[in-house]
Amino acid sequence: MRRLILTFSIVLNLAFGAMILALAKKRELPHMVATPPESGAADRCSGRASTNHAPFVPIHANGFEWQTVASASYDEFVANLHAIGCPERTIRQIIVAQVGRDYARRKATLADAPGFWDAGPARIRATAALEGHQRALEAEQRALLLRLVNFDCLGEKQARGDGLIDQAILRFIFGPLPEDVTERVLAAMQKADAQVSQIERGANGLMLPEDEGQVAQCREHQIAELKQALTTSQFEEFTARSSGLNLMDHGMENVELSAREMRDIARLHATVFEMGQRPFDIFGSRDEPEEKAREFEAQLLGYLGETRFAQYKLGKNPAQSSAAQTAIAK
Amino acid sequence: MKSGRGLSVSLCLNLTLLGALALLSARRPHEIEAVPKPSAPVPDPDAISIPSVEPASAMHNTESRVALRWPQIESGDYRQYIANLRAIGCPEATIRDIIHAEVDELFSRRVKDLVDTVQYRFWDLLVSRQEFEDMVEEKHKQLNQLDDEREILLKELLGSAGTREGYRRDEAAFERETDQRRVLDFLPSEKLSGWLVMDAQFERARQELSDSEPRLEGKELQTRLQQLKEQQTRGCESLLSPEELVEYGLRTSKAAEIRFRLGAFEITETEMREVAAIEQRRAETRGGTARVQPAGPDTAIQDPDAQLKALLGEDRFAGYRLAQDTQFQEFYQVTQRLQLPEDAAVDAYAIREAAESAARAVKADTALSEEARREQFDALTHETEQALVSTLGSVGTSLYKNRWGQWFTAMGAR
Repeated sequence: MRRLILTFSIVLNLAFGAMILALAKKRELPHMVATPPESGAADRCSGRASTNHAPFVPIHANGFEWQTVASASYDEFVANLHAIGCPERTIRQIIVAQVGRDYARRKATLADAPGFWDAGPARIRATAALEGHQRALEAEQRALLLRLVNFDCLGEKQARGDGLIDQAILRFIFGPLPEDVTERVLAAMQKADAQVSQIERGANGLMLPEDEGQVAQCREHQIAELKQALTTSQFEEFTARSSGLNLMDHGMENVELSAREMRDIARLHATVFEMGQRPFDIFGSRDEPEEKAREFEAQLLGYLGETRFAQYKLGKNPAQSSAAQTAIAK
Repeated sequence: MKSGRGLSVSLCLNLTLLGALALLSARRPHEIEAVPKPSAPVPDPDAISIPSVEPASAMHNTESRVALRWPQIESGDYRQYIANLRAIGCPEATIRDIIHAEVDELFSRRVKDLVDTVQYRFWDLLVSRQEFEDMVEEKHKQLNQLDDEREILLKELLGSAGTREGYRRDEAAFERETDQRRVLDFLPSEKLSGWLVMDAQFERARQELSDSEPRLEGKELQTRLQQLKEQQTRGCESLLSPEELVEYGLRTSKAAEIRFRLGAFEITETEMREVAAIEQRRAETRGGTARVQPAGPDTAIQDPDAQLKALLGEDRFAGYRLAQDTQFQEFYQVTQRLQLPEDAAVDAYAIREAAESAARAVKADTALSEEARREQFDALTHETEQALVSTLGSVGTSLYKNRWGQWFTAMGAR
């Protein structure tokens, strides 16, 4: 009896096994075909497209069509992409580009553009109305993308990978930071720059005190964001590096310094000139107030001593430095 | 004993396999997982109201639910990824968006790798100028190389349309079409469509010529481009009626640009078109390219200014001239910015004219001593400033002086 039960049980096991295999095969078919032929992630991450130029065998779509995911409603589109397991990052790529295209089209076809022969006040009124609508659409697009995929498109143009060189320079100045922090810092810088240029564009070269106030507000917000993204020491390093680059072409290149001394001086410069209040002014485009310059030089003299300070003065202003030359000769 | 253990094992296996079978059967293949709602709302910084949209709670087309999931579409190999996206009917533009963003991220990482090699030497490099300059030069070369590599990779993967250059061209084509639609809004829609198709074809032909491999030499390229241009002109002429062609010629002439420079000058569209036609004839007469001479033996009628006066009347003709004066436009911009009455610009312009005229008189007065001249210039500058402040206000005067006030400060130095 026991033997009979055992035989029946084994037969049942074999039958179950066969059924499971059959079911699994049926279910796994698309996945198995979808596996890339060879190269895979390593190739993609190293930036090399496969050198195998044989045509790729696409996945078996199994009746699946993009149309079932795509939707005229962005919310539905996003939800559908989520539903098929599309990663957040890819959803963002798809939605940001799609929304960008749609809004560009809407902006270009706004009905209130001036008529071709409109001139004088009629043109001015129509243009103002058009620009107002364009700004409203831009704001709507920004809010939409923030809501849909948590992406701030303000300053997006600059953020696009167009300028690898600019990106490299900024990374060099930011200092060694984790990648997500770099991204936040870049975003904060680009967003503020975009807002400032929007204000400047609106002012058409005639900045009113209230425009200046708005710019100041943007910058304050930017600094707050930077301070939130960076630790105190990272923020100090960033502002010191900005100062260091500032100093490089303003006399310090003439002085024999160790790396540590250079860093100390850059920190001093950043403190005196309050670089922490304007970290965006990386290359020091602003004319420095006289009293600040005097304060910096007084402290620099104390740090460098007379001879090296004279070297600095000579480098900074060779034409007016006979006194400096005398000091060096001593 | 042995068979007893074997039976136990086999029975356990029975149960396990049965469970597995039940689990597999329960998960039907043609079903996707529950659709999550869109990601949590993000605070809207500008409090912009967005047109409300129905929150999606399920796939739009439930009939088409299939087992395919994104991880099956995505691939470690770009070419496979693209093939998979095409296989499910993903639009080319979306494929380009996805791959472009992927490639950008990849190269961003490569920039990071490149910078990381010198990142920790920042301060050392800053004190060694030569080393710093060498590093900058080397990295510059490497970054340019990366830029080229990115473009080549994009071209390999997506064709010319997928490169950054391709994107720029697309943007330019879009802008071009928008402009053309504006210029040609007088055409019936079929004609406009025909024109746009033809224009796009010629634009593509121009691009192909410029991109042809091996590259055409400068002179040959110019000749071929010129031939294309002539071909396109002939094409346009065959598409448009003579009247439409005249309108197109007028709209694309320099004279039509006057409509952007008339500031506060009140003028109707019909008048503006007529003004542009007169100015176009004036330009053609000057350049010796006049095709149509105005009718009538009276030379006064042929004189463009006389025609403009006849069209606008004496007073408005003066206003038309003034509106195009760049010095007037400067004041006009200030009044616009501060929403001052239009007359303020006219008054401020008159103040400038009077001041400059007075300054010339002071300069020409040889009887004046140097000191007396200086005093007169100072007094004139002061008076002019007072007059401007009373017209434009102190903010307006300050705005004006910061942007265009060089003449103002230079007046005393004459």
